[in-house]
Amino acid sequence: MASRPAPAAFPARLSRASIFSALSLGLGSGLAWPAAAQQAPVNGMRPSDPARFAIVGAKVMVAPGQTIETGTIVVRDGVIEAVGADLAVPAGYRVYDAKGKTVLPAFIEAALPVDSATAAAAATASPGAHWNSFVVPEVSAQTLAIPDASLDALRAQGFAVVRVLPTTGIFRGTSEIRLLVKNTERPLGRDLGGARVQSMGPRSIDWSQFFQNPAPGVTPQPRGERSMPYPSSVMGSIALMRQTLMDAKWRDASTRAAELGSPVPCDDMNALDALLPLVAGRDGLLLDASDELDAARLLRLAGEQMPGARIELLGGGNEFRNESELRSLLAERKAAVILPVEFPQAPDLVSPTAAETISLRDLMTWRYAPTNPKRFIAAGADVALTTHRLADKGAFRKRLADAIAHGLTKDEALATLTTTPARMLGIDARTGTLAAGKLANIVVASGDPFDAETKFEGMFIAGTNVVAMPEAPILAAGSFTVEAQAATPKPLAKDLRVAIDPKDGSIKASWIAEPAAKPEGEAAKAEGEAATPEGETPKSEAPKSEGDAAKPADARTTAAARRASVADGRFSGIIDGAPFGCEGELRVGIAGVGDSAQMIADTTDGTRFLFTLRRVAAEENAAKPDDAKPQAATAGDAKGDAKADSTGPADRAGRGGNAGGERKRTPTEDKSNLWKDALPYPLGEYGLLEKPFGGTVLFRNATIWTQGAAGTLARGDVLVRDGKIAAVGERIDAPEVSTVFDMQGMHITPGLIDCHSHTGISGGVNEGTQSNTAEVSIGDVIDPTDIEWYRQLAGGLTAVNQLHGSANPIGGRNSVVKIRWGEGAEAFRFAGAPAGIKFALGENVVRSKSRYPSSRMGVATYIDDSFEAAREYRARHAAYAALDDATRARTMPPRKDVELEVLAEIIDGTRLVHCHSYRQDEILMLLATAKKYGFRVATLQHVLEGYKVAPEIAAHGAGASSFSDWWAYKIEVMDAIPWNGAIMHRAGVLVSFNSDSDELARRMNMEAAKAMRYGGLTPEQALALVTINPARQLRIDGRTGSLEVGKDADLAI
Amino acid sequence: MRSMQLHSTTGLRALAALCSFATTATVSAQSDVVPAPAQSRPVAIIHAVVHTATAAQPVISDGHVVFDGGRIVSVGPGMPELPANCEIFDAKGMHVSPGFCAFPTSLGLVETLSVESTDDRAEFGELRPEAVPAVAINPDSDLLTVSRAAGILLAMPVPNGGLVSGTASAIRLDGWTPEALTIDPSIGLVMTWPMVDPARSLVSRRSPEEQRKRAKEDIEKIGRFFDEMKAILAARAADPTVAHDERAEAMRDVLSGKDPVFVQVGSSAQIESAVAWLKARGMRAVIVGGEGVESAIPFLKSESIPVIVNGVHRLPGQRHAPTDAAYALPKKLADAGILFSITTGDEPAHERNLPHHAATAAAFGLDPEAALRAVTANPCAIAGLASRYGTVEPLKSATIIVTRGHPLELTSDVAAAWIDGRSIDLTSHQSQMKRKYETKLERAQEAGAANDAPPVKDASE
Repeated sequence: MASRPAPAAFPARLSRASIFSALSLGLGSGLAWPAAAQQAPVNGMRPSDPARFAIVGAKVMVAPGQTIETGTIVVRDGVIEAVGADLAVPAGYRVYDAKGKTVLPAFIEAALPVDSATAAAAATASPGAHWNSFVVPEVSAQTLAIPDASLDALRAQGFAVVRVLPTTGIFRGTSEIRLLVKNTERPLGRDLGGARVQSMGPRSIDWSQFFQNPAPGVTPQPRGERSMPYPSSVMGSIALMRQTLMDAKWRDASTRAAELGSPVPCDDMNALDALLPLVAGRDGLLLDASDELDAARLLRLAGEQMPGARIELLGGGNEFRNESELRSLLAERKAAVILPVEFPQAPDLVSPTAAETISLRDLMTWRYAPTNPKRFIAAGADVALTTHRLADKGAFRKRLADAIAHGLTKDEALATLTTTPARMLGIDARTGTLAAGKLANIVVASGDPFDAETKFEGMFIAGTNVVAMPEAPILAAGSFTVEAQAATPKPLAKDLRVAIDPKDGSIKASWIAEPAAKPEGEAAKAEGEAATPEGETPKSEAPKSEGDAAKPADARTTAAARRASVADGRFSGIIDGAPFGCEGELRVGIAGVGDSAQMIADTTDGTRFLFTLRRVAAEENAAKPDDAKPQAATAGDAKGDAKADSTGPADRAGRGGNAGGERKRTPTEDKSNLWKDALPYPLGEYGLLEKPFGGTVLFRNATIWTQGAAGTLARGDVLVRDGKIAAVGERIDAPEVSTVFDMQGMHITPGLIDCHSHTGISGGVNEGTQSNTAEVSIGDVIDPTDIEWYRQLAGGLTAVNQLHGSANPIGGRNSVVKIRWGEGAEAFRFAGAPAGIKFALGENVVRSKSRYPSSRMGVATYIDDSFEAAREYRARHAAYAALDDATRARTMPPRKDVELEVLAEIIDGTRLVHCHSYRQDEILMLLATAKKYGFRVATLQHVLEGYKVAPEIAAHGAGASSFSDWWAYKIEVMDAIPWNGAIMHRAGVLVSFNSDSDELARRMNMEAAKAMRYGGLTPEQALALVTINPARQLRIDGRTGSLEVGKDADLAI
Repeated sequence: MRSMQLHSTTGLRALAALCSFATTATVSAQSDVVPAPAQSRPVAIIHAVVHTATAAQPVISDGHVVFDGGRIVSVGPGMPELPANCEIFDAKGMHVSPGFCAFPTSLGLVETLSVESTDDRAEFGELRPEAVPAVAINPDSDLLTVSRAAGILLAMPVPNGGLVSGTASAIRLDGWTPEALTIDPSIGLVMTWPMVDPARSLVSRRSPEEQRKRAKEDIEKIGRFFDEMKAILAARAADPTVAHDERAEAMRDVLSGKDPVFVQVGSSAQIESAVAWLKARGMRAVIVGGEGVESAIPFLKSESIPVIVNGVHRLPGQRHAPTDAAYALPKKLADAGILFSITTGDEPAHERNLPHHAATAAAFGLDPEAALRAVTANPCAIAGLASRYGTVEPLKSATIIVTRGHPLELTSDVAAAWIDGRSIDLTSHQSQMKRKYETKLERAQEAGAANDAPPVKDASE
């Protein structure tokens, strides 16, 4: 016997009586299968399974790039013993003849999510459960049953091994790698061991993805519903992931402290305990991200929290839209990626008006999605393909063929389904190729396995023939002479032959028509049309005459039986009786074996005749092209399709049909090189293929609003070098200048700044499910592809304060960005901008009827209490840090709590507070609270009653970021007035105007101008409201907000 | 409100009931700005830049406007012949133009958007032509005084929601009673056309097939309704004993083609469908929309359909649209020779920014005086009020404003306004609050503003 696979790393789960575990540990050959201790006694005789066989004569695809044109595979006890071109089959081995077929390693499904809602609910209800019902890492896929329908669908597509993943929650639980066997097929062991992963993914639905690729079974829910549990947003999910991973590490540390003698017993924490293998590096972390931006976010988070962990990404299919970022992150994190093949449908272009509504982004997504796998393989990533996210798993091989048409090579395709997932799953020593020593997971295909029309005819899983190989027919196809056993009413036709074909059950008679017989044998020359197996085609019942005048003398006439079929080697059908010397039609039955058969023929009046059929020698057959059609010729024709239907009905469901039609309409386009196309970022309209124009630039002869000490120059120049303002003045001589623009008649201002925006935030602006969500961060969910960025940039806006919404008193952390359109989220970040957070007061935060606070009274005390908690938190950590090393080692460490950490930073004075506020009382409350905890509020947002307490705001030193003139949309803004900004400005408050609106953000200059009308600000003072003032409020005025030497060259023309 | 002080501690349930009422009462902050009396003597505005809002003579750079008895009697360059007892308004350095027309709007029908009890915009059901805003306008709404302070003197309040939302009314923004505000209670029908091309927007949960089916059903519903109303009117004409039907009566002038149908649309498919449908039934369509209008321009032109651009400050509906798609639309309509006007399409509190929408259209290519007409003469023409309102011409109503700066310019404010010759008080709750708290600030500054010691830490330090 060939060498056994090495005992690959598979965790201590031998307690499960797994035959395979035993096998792979080398317990040796000749192992009797039903040895398992849990096996029920046999009710009768003990069965014997020799468990040894050989597949001979097939083309063997041993592994990607390694094919034996005609080879033999020898299997014993579920394991491949030998593979080769000229192998002798050992005595006593069953032989499967696979001549003309292709044998390949069965596929490995790296991601089969199985509904785990029940297990998750049970985990949540257990003592020691996590407070948040989305954190159920203790769920194990071991308990999850694969529905038989999924199992059959996967097998039909060639899969023998799956990794089952729990579906429910954010931390969803651990995987199990299994052979795709049913309970009834046991005692085959099922658990393949391998490398386990913890599955993790955001909870929220990405809406853009939803429209393009609606996830099956997902019902979209409105965002920000107050009854929703935490988290409701993508940023909330990320925050929960981050905190939980930190908690797992804390649990690890505190468990060790407990071991060293901490007197305090550890609490039951099932969820965190279930994450300890991840912390220890035994479990990997699978990131389930249907959205290409989320994919990058989760990869970053994994790198930040679990830098040593084995990482896998389960993608959504649009990764190519964020190709360069994901390529580098995958490489950096050494992460493998599992990609679906659910490619978008062609857009609906039924009318010109409908066509108008389809974006270039959608069109390009449709065109390029099938290049997704190839792009990442070409980039050197470890790519496995999955049936996950396919609405119909039966369409997998069709979609795979699409990917191949888009440049994926067949070797690459095979690797994505065998060797690569085997390596990812840590089972490559056991399966993934047809090499000796591997599990006999084998697919027998009727031809090229990557042609979607090819039939997968047989399948072995660990040597068990789970999909029976088609047996050699009892009565093989061929042509037979006909001899009447008894007298027939009339003589047989000349040289009468009967041809049968077990492939489709057809029965045909053929003979040489004799001219003399013509008058009476009218029907005899008629040729019936090809009958289908269950053929009830009306046409075949009315055979049409074929003009044979031109035929050579020995030309044969044929007639086919209708309703012809075959079962168990017995053929039957209804055929014209004339050539057999009978009147009318005959109901015939043919049975026999090998080279002879008997044909029973009943006439319509019930008379029975018997005929003996004798096989015509093969060489004689070969001369008749009609009898032995090459198999390939039938592939893809109507008959072939019908057959495919009967085995895999799902293959033909809706979309498959579309794709077929589409191919027919555009038969000539070669898409195999589309994957080489460089794609703009963001994909679609206005995306950039390369970085925008830069270098050294001189703008001449413009009116220059410096918003700095130099004031406004009626006519002047601005010199930009290396992204910075190198000079501003009336006349700049700069000989080395590379580009000069004459700006005669134009104005140059600093790039405009919006101190309150919700643009470009993925997956929800509010995490409003709790009153304090300081742990969430807008910076985690920057969406650089939002088209509104481009529109705002076109309106002169260059820097933006992206704020969390106002659903809760202590909201999420904000993000300050520059609109670097064409670049990724990381490039958008305004490096060096101080950290901040959104607070909110008033109507919005008390609207929830089921959550504290529900009045302005409660808001005040809630914020106060939160700061007290943060103070105590700081003290706790300081006390721990002050311990001597020995004491600290056995002291339970204080938990790192992001929420309190963030609040403590406010008290430390290292984090800016931007507070949504309207009414004067709540404004004063917040200022007093800030004073109590010793920090200055950076900005009061909206602050529409700021004019009522302008001196108080000025005294505190808070900035005010207001609307120019909004009011009347709710009660707390009924007293808002458009002079608000000017009055606060006059009181000495640092004032800015913001948009809080994607539309308004495109014309901030117009908003600023309103302060000239309402309150009489000078033009420079008004422009300051949207340039230097918001820059100062955000503490980025050292970098932007005015046109002064050394600042960033952020300007609007 | 007073009754609230009578409640006892035991009457908690009654208190709860009163609380909702109390909220309402607080909301309807009643304007104490006094409506203007009728014009008692002639007024001559002199030395003004006169924007007539006529195509023939759009601007008179140093001109005059004289009005008496509520009507303009003289417009022209230089000094007018002053009537006896004439009040003179020296507008040197200022501009005169017609008052702005917020057509359509929900001004007067809603006070505080988030408070349902102050919102009378929508009537029950899907087909309710009998809903007439003129009877439901609150003359003391703060939104009216704030809007007219920005030069909005006329409005066309419309109901919303449903398929046939109701009837459009025309009002002036000053008067003691709804009757005094009303110019014409009924100037057309207001409809929202079904979405005949499925929306691809993310908010739509329905499949394209479902949407198409629903649109088809809705159009059939509208068809049956219009036919039924027509049949009722015909039957009543022939036999007066046939029962009166409020709905049919409300549609009489629309079905006859006398009054237009203001049909709200959001795509070119809706435009094609609505115009063809209405025209086939002998009615006049006015398109109210923005998205889809540009690609429908040739069709609108050939069918001579007026357009109300529903907001210039509007995001393009399609990702691939040019960034200035909405800004540049009015210029394209003007170039095509289509009669169009501009409205904000915004919440009623923001109607005061109507001239800014027109200004943006001008910044993106539209002639500034054409832009002015789009918020004065053209809306009046489209609403059938052109004989009385919309331009500064002799015999027209003296419904005019004087501005410091071009009337559309953002930095211009309104120095004076007259509606039908009545001099309008431009104060409002907002200006009163301004005065009140400017006083507070002045006193604080006089007192040397007890500056607290600056709070301790700041992230910039």
